[in-house]
Amino acid sequence: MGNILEIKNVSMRFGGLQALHDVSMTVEEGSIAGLIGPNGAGKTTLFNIISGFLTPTSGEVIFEGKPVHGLPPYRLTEIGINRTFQNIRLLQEMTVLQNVQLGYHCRTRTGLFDALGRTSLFKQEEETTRRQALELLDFVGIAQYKDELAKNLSYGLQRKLEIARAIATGAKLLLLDEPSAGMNPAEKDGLAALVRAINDQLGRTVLLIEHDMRLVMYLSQKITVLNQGEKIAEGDPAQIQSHPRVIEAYLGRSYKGGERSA
Amino acid sequence: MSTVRRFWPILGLLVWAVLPAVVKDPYVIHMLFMVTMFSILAVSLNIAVGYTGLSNLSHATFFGIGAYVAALLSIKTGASFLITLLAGGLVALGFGLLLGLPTLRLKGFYLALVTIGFGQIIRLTELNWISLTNGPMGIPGIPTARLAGYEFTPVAFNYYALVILLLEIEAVRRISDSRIGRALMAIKNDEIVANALGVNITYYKVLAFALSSLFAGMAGSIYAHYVTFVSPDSFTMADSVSILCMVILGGSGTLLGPVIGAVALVVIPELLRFASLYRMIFVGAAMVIGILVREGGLGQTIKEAIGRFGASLHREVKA
Ligand SMILES: Nc1ncnc2c1ncn2[C@@H]1O[C@H](COP(=O)(O)OP(=O)(O)OP(=O)(O)O)[C@@H](O)[C@H]1O
Ligand SMILES: [Mg+2]
Repeated sequence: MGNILEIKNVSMRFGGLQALHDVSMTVEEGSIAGLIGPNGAGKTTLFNIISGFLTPTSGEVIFEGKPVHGLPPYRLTEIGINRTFQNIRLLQEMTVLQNVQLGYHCRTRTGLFDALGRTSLFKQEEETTRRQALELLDFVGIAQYKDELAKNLSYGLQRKLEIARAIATGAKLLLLDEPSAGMNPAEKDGLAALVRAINDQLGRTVLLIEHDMRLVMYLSQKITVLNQGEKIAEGDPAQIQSHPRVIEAYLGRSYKGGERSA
Repeated sequence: MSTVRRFWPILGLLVWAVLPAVVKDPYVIHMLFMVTMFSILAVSLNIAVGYTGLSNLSHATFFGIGAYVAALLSIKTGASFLITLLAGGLVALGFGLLLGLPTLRLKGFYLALVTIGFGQIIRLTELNWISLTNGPMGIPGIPTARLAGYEFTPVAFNYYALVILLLEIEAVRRISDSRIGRALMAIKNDEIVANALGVNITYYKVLAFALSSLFAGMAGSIYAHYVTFVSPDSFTMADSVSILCMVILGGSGTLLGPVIGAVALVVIPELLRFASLYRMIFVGAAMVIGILVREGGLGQTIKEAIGRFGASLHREVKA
């Protein structure tokens, strides 16, 4: 299979700070790929660029063969890229089910008059998205909380909800920013199984940022390593584990990897 | 559970529907009408403020626009009250678009200031465009509502306003329980996420603001025919603030909370009339405390009390 995503020579400057410098990488369609690096390496910045929250200072982002950098987030959602956030962003005062239903917003069409008149199109669309949303909640394992407000879920469940919402948008490429942050070991195992299922049952491509090395090595077919805004390595988990520059980046200076909160 | 949840609104509606017919005191009939009127206003403001999270301190201005349109239209053309209802609503909606399109990108505090400014501009226009509005003297002699030769009594106006309120509540219920409603709530919760999920922020904000203005304008038309006189003093910023308080106190973003807020803030000050000088201080203090104690508003408190009541009934039935 080809590459669903290509990053070509992307650089990002914030005033005097070079957050990303000439980064290139690819994600193969249908794969699970990892993006790792010490704190401040520029991982989230790269996600922000891919998902349209930032426009790169220079370089290109190619999705399914077409340049997409500079498009606004909602356009990228329509095209098929959606993300989760390192510091979870749910619609806190809305229910779990409503959060996922919102994921379908860009795939549905009914307007004001359909809602007011309860037209057959409205009923059918509402019924379908509701059923699909419930199936998705079941899929990620939080169906019993469907009527809870999102803010009342535990941290780990909130992360799952955010993933369900991203799946609901119909994203072919899911960007997960530290999905296991704040989870206990049992929850992490559940998450690993979930990411696998998203990949092979739903057929979605996943790019994930992770600080838990065991998890990212277990899940990813290919891993890209950033350090201080530059790509320092790329390869399969075995290659990355033994890569001298990776070891140096993580161990050479004060080691800050491992478990941290968002 | 859901029968208990439905029981109270239905009981409330029955009382609301029966009272104007059985009460003889014109003053009480008038107060009932004002409660319904402010309920329409609070429920409509809630679309913008409660569901979508927009600030608006000029809701009474849209009410006034509807009232002036109804007054002028019925005096100059003899249009029936149903025509002026639509016209008042649509012109208010038009002004809502006019104000909303350029300003709804503004956030919280800034938007509130802009709406205050808008209210002042409209008020100055009403005061100074004398050839149209008769300035501070206002417009007297607005024809009352008439249906097939029958002239509306204050009691009839009560039912007219109640029907519009019920239609409005049903419309808001249908909107809130739909793709549109979820989009509005998403904007209130987190604009950035809403945008990323494909919600067109500007479109939905303008839509919420326009709908909110539409119902306020309709309320204006009902009011104009009822009092048969409008002047710039009928629709002040103090009224806008009161309506906002009704929404917040009752429970913003809930379907019936604003109605409870309207009932409370119209009736309580009336009951306290004997304490004339101090009553507004009392009402103000009660509001601050109410909001501090319950962020979810009175509606939430009542809902929970009813929930407990329902649960205890349930236990008793079982036991
Ligand atoms: N919007 C922004 N404006 C200015 N500086 C930014 C912005 N976003 C990120 N940065 C800076 O860019 C650098 C990279 O940050 P980024 O969040 O991408 O790191 P990260 O690899 O995700 O780190 P972490 O593992 O801590 O999440 C940091 O120095 C950060 O302070
Ligand atoms: Mg990060």
